[in-house]
This record gives sequence, C-alpha cells and structure tokens, in this order.
Amino acid sequence: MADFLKPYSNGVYEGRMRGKFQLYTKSAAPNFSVYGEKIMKDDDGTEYRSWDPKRSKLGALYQKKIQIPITADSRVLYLGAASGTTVSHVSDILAEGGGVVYTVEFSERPMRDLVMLAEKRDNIIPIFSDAARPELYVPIVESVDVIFQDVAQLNQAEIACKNAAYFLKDGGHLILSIKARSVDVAKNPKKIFTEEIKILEKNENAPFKILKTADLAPFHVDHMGVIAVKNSRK
Amino acid sequence: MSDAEKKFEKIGKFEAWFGTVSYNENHAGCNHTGSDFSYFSLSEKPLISTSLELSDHLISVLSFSQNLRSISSLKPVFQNEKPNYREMAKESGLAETDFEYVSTLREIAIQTARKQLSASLTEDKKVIQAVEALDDLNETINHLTERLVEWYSAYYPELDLPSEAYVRFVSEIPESASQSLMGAPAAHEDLILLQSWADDILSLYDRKAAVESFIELKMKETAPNLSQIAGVVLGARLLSMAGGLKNLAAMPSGSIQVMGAEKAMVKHLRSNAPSPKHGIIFSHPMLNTAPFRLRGKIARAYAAAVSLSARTDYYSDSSNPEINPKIESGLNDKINRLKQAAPSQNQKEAN
Repeated sequence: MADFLKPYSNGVYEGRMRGKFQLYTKSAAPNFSVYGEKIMKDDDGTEYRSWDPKRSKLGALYQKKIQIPITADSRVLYLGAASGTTVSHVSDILAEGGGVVYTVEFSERPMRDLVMLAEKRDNIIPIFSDAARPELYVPIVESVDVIFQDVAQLNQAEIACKNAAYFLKDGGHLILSIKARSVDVAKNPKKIFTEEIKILEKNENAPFKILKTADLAPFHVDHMGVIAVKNSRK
Repeated sequence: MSDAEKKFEKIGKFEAWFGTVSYNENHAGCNHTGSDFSYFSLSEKPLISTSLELSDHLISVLSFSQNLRSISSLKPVFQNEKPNYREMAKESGLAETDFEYVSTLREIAIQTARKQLSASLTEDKKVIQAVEALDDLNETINHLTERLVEWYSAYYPELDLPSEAYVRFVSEIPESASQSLMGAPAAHEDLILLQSWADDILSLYDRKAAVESFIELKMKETAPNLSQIAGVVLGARLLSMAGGLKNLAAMPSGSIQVMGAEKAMVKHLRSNAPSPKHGIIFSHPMLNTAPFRLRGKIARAYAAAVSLSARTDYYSDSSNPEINPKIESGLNDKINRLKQAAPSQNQKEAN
C-alpha cells in the first residue's frame, strides 16, 4: 500500500487531499475516472480513487466513522444505483475478495452510464428494473449478504423490506439511506425517520434490528443513514 | 394415493436466469431440517445454448406481466428458503467456479440491459424530447433576435417590426438602413455580418416549424385524445412534466391540475397559504379566459378530462388510435353547468 494512505475500513483507505481528510478506494479498473474523481497513483502504478462524501450517501456513512458491514467477499444488492458513482467504489471494495454487486436502476439515462461502468468492471451486474418490484428480478439475484438502498421514493422503508424478504440472508445487513424530503416535503424530518424505522422494525417478512442510525449532515441535508440486521424468522 | 402423498405432488415452478427451477410447494410451509435447498431442482435443461437466447429469455421474464401487482406463487418460496442459484448453475454445468458464474451472469445481464435500453425510447419519449427541444429553440431564437434588434437598430432606428418580420427584413434588405435619418452610417461589412446573423435565426425558425409538426404528428398518433382535450403543445408539455404517457395516465387528476405549480403547492402544504388552482394547464384558453371565480372549478373539471383522455390513450389499442368524443362533450357539459350555476358572478365579470 502506498505510504500516503493508511487502512480505514474494509477496502477503504484514508489519506489527505489539500490537507483535508479524504477517503480512497483501490481502483479495480485503472486508467479510468468514473465521475471525475481525483486519482492518486502509487509507485508501482496502483491507483486509488478519492471518494467524495458529498456525492455518495455510503461515502458519507464511511466518513462518519460508522462500521459498514461490506467486506471484500460480500454479495451486495444495490438499489437505486443511478449512474454508478457509489457503485464504482463498492465495486472497488469487492474487487479483492470476489464479491459481487447487483445494481438495480429504473431510469434510462443513468442506466446507460451504469451499463458502461459494468462493461469495465467484472463484479457489477446491471439490472434495468424497478426496485419496488423485486419479483421482476428474482430470476437474476441470488441471496445476498448486504442490501444497500438509496432510492428517494415515497415508500423507501417498504421497498427495503420487500427486497429483504426476497433476497437478504438471515443475519444479513441492510444499509438504508432515508431521504425525508421524498417521503413528505412538509413534515418534520425527525418524525419521518422514526416512522420509517418503525416500519423496518415491525414488518413481518423481514424483521430488522436497528444497529445504528446517523444523520448524514453536513454532506447530505435531511438524510439519515440506517444500518440494520435482519433477524431470522422463528 | 393418500392426502399426504397428493400434497407432495404439488410442484411449483419459477424462472431463474439459467433455466426453469421447480420446487415443492409443501416443503415451503413446514420446518425443513435436511439439506437446505434440497427441494429445489432444475426441471428443464438449462438455456445455455447462447447468451443471446438467454438474454431474450430474461427480457421476457423481466417484463413479464409488467401490469401484475405481484407474482403470488413466488412469495411463499422466498419467504422460507431461497434456492442457491450458484449451486444450481454449477450442477447444470453452466459455471464451474464462482468467478465463472458471476462473469457469465454479468455478460448476460449487460446484454439484457442493452436490449431493454435500446427498446426504451418509446413514441411518448420522443414527444418529450421534441417539446424540450422546442423550448430550447424558443429560448435561443429570442436571445439571438434580441441581439440582432439591438445591433441593427443602431443603423436603422426607425424600423419597427414584430420579431420574426424584423429578422426577415434584415436577412432580405439590410442595405435599406441607408434610408435612415438617425442611424449610423452602415458599412458594407457590418451589414454582411448582420445579414448572415439574421439568416441563421431564420433557419432556426424553420427548425422550430419542423419540430412543431413532428410533435403534432407524434401526439396525434400516440395520444389522440390528449391532443383533442389539451391541444398538441400543452399535451406534449404535460407528457414531458409527467415523464411519459404511462406516468400521466397513472396520475390522479388533482396532481395534473397543479402540475407546474409545485412551488405554490409546497408553500400551501407547509404553511397555511392557499392551494394553487392550476399549474401548466392554465395555458389552455378554456382556463385563462374563464371568469376568475370559476377558474378553480373549471380547472378541476378540465384536469379530470385530461386525466381521462391520457388513460384512454394509454390503455387503448395503440395501433388503432381513436378519439372518444364523450370526453370533450362531457367536459363542455360540466363547464356549462358550472357557468350556469354562478350567473351572477359571470355577470360581474362581464360588467
């Protein structure tokens, strides 16, 4: 590993950029900047891509020093992949241990970028489908260790529960980014967060135990990150 | 055959990306103590012939019953135990290692997504692009015309024409600026520059006409009822704001009524500001010429008709578009009734 970096979490490194704290992941597809992020090069040519917490909810969670249950051999289901800004970093983390990330996106424009990203990286499986309809992509997705969801929909918690019922292993983790403004623009975000968490805890098909919640400010306003573990059904 | 045996016969099926998987429904309910996934098996030969065939198969599965709410037969299986796709694929000889499994699936998923994407530009999406292009053209034309008028009027301040005629004038006879008494002396090269500038704007007017007729053609093909009720351009704008005919058809008419007045709507929800009566639909003459007191009611009736026509267009046979005259006549009846119910206010407006 490069001397200007030190390990931060599984597959994530910390360094400095213009004197400021900055996270990095080891690039799985060198000579290629996905979204214009800065790249640091090691002496032996290994590339490290900087991870901007302002452009990524997961990056913000990492930067908030929260234990993220993604390891190099994880199988991840990523809902709401957009053009693959965060997905590329997840792909970096998974590259060393043979993990795989199933990415679901519903919108055509970002999906084109996502497919082009998947062409460059061998652990991204792109799925052009609606995250609220997991039954449609049952044929593709196996059971996974982690579900990461960033969908900005009205029924974010329900979408997470539905997907967890289909795909998440017992004891698997859910990483959820709740955007209060897409649930209700007028309500107090704190109220919305408690309600959404209640939905996660109370649902029948995939009951969750909340491990950690974190406000994503100042990187993302009115967003909350939730880490939960799926209890086994008894 | 005993009941228990009969139950055991009940076999369900579902599609996995590598083939059809069958499972025993009865196991799904009970406590299964043996090997985790023993009751799942591949019922048919895997579809490994070509990856192209596989992605065609996947597209059909992915878009399978897009209008169905859920596939009930799948749920019980997945609520209890999940099939191990990797093991099954390895058993069927499709992949030997985990890496091979992932790379084969990835290749097929990419192919599938590419095909889905190339099929995703539907006719209503073309209308949306065109109506947004129309906005861009209008903005550009205004911008360039403003500059032309500003500049040319220094040579010929007396010239007073509406904007398109002004551009045409400069393009055709720029040298008439020499008649001006107040204008600056017009050098030949100045006029040449302004003339070609005007030519460019005129070509943009042509482009605008082409885009407009494209929108008209496509709207009458894909959304004849919507074009009838809202007109071609407003109909196209509604499609563009909703994100497609499907989305517009799925919208409650109350949302259509205030679409384009989001700021006022949020203000209304957050504080006790009055709710907006109309959004973009206000540009329709039926609304902007309506008496002020009745506008809210007429907007409501009009939005309902728009919603009805969008639904008619989306759910009827697209190869044979037909206009349903009942929508328009129903709307007109409703509005006449509204106007008759409030004659005094009508008179007030008239006075």
